Amino acid sequence: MKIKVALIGNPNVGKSLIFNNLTGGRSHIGNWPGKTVEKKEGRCIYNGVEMEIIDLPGVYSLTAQSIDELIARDYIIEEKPDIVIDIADASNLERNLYLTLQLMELEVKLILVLNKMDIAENLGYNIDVEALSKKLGIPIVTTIATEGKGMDELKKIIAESIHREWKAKKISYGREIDELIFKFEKLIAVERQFSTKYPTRWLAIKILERDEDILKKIKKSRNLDEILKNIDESIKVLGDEPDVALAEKRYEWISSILPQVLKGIRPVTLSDMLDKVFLDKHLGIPIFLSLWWSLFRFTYDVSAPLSDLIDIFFNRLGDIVKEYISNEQLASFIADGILGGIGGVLVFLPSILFLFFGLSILEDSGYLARAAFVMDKLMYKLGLNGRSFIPILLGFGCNVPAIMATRTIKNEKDRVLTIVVNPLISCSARLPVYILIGGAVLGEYATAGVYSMYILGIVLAVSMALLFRRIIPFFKSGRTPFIMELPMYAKPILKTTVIHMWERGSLFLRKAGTIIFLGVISVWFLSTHPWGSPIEETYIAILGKILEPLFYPLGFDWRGAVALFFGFIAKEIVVGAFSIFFGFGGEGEEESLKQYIRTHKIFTPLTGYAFMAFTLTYIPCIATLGAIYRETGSWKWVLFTVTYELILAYTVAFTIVTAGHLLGFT
Amino acid sequence: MEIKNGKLLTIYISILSLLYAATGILEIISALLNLIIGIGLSWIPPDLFGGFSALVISAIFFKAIFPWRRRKKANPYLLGATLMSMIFGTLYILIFIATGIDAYIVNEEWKWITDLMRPEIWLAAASTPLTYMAWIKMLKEFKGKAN
Amino acid sequence: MYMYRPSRIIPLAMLPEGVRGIIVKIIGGRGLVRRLTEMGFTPGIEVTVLKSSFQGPILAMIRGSRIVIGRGVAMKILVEVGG
Ligand SMILES: Nc1nc2c(ncn2[C@@H]2O[C@H](COP(=O)(O)OP(=O)(O)OP(=O)(O)O)[C@@H](O)[C@H]2O)c(=O)[nH]1
Ligand SMILES: [Mg+2]
Repeated sequence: MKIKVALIGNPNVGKSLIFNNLTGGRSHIGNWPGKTVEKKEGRCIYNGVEMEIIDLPGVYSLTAQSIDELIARDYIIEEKPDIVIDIADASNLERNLYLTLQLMELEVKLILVLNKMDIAENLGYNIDVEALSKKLGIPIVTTIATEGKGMDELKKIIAESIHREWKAKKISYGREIDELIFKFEKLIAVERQFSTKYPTRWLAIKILERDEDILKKIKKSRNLDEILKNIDESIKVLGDEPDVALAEKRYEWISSILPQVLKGIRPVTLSDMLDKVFLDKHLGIPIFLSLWWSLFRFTYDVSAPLSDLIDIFFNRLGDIVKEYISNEQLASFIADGILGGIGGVLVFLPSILFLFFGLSILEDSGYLARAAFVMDKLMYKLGLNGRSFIPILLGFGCNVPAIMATRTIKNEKDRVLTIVVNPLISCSARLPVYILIGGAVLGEYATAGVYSMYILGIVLAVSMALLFRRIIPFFKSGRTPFIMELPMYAKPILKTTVIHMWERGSLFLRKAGTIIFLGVISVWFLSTHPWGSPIEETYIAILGKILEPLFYPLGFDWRGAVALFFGFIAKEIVVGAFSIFFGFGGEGEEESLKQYIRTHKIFTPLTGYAFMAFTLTYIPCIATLGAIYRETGSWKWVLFTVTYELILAYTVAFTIVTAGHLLGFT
Repeated sequence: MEIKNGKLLTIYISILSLLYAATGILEIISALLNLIIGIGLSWIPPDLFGGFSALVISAIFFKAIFPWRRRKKANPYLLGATLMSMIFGTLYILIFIATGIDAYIVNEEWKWITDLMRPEIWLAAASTPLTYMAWIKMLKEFKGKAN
Repeated sequence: MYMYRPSRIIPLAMLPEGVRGIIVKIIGGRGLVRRLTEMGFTPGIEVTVLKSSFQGPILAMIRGSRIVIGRGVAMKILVEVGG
């Protein structure tokens, strides 16, 4: 028999890491609150007992306000897992127990996991686990997920729980409130439509708290009139914020037991000290920019030898193919199409791995959440808040998870705004284009040029957000409050970082093997047929010449135009296309792509830079469009994003070229 | 050593701050010259953002000067400044190594002296004793447990 | 009630860095008050401002957790200082 086990807890307590430990899964781990935004399932077998484990987004309570919280709450309340594992941060027991109390009221089979015991110990906390377990009436397991400690005990206790029954303690809210709860409980208990589905006391408490969701459900009640009458009465006792009154009572209860189970006071920590510097009012933003700069130098310069190795490998392979395959057409297909095109893209695998390595370190160290803090002031001016900066930073890796991360934003309008500007953030797929073109024409300024694309991305996203706020009525709204827990700094764990890097690397390879492959092969076919004709007379040239006038003002020739055309599918294809086009030119000579672009003046530094900016802006890739559709639930926003981005790309590139001309560049 | 030699340390930190500031300014000037007249200052890498980063490190060191004398506790700015100094030092050493390997792979001449003359590498080396002291002191204060 | 003590009630946003206050009341919409309460901001609890910046967010320590609060929200949390 299979048992369903749900993992729930406050954000950033280590749910996903425990999930990964139990199931061998690959949930995303990072040191900031709000990573997991959808439920994830995995399996685990212990002693012949099969368990289905469900990782959920983090929540502070069971009253949901955002999409991710709703997913967690609905799962626990409606899907009724056999066992609920409440994961709590042992180094922050007081706040974490709040959710535990709410779960206890749900009358599910509840197990409490105290994770991060290592940190609790470092802070000098001493937790009397047995006493706590008695007070709560539920079993407790202590774990250190980063070291895999306590996982076997956890599995064991889950497996054994099929044969065990236990009931969590009922928390008293004081006589007055308890009596009110009891009154509602009696009214509901007689109605099977509720009492068979939810625990009656829990339902009574929710009615008392005037939980919108539950009040809607209660509308079907036969005793509705009486319930409403009782609610009116309860206002006299509880005031007009009954949920707040109950929350205070829960915290009071926690405060009353805490001294008996927890010894030690929180000392000043290294995190407190480092925050003095990294959150400094003057230096916060400059430090952020420097760290970001160091990440790009790392990505760009340190990965170079590996990229060159791959480049040489594919070139040699191409030469061998051309030498040994006598059928010209086949040789061209393999050497120029497959090896040239795909090789041209795969060359960037090291850069992408390095980028994700760096991003993962920034995430795991806890710095990402600090970036949200220092950027809050700027985001405030846009009517957004620091929280919206996290999707921006994630977008540097890939826009798809970044767009999903907006689920934690509570206000729908803010969320959509954050989504539609996110594709302007330069993802890793655009990096190859920058490296190729920048490296070819910007000389010593290549890294600075690439970095400036990332800055340009942020600037554009921010300006567009501001513009849309001003001119589109839909986006006019009040401010959403900014409340975010700041995690402690932590030493990045090599394993997490490597797994993250590996995941993204294999994703890239899969993409290269499928969609990029198809795109590149199409480009090869169109640029070699009719067979034997010079490239200027092939199909692709015909297509390119149609597009060329459009791009003439920007200074891109037909090859640039066609590359951008195919880049819509995946931006890496832009690079693949160039390798195919210029693979022909260098026949015999040992001329690299970058040199070719430089010496044949395909781009000048100015038009090259404009081309980079155009690539940055012009259109989201297909996967991103899909994510926009899924997260906004409407094609309207997809269309909106495509349209404004195309206009913006043209404007930006044109501005760069014109301004450049005025400054005397060609 | 720390309390008695407070003055010495202040001087040490001030010098580092000054050197980072000089490096930053020169790198930015070099970059601008390179952009305008096509040639930068000799021996100074033309690096706009790199120069900016050096200025940031300088500013953190600068902030580390002041609370130093008033408090006996570990100095947060010193922790931050030395951390940043090490990050950039390591980065430029990695770039140095990568450029060397790359030159070998593509069979080019490696101008290793220019790469090794990146001032931040030497400034990181010069701040190593300070880094060691600041972080050891911090670890002592937190009894070796860092969080 | 507070008359006999030399204490003041000010918004959390006005609390200088490193200073403690006792939460008196949160004014604001139901959603905001509920959210803050759930995270531990209840009347009578001590809160310390770890980091504050002009017009920017503040970093507060409450019940052992470190929470970033936007300026707007911090203006709505009233705390009592001194006394
Ligand atoms: N020191 C220590 N760190 C831990 C432990 N467990 C998890 N972490 C770290 O805590 C951070 C958060 O872990 P996650 O598993 O992503 O947390 P989560 O609960 O899934 O977070 P959300 O999905 O954002 O709600 C990561 O940086 C982990 O490395 C532990 O036992 N000890
Ligand atoms: Mg998670």
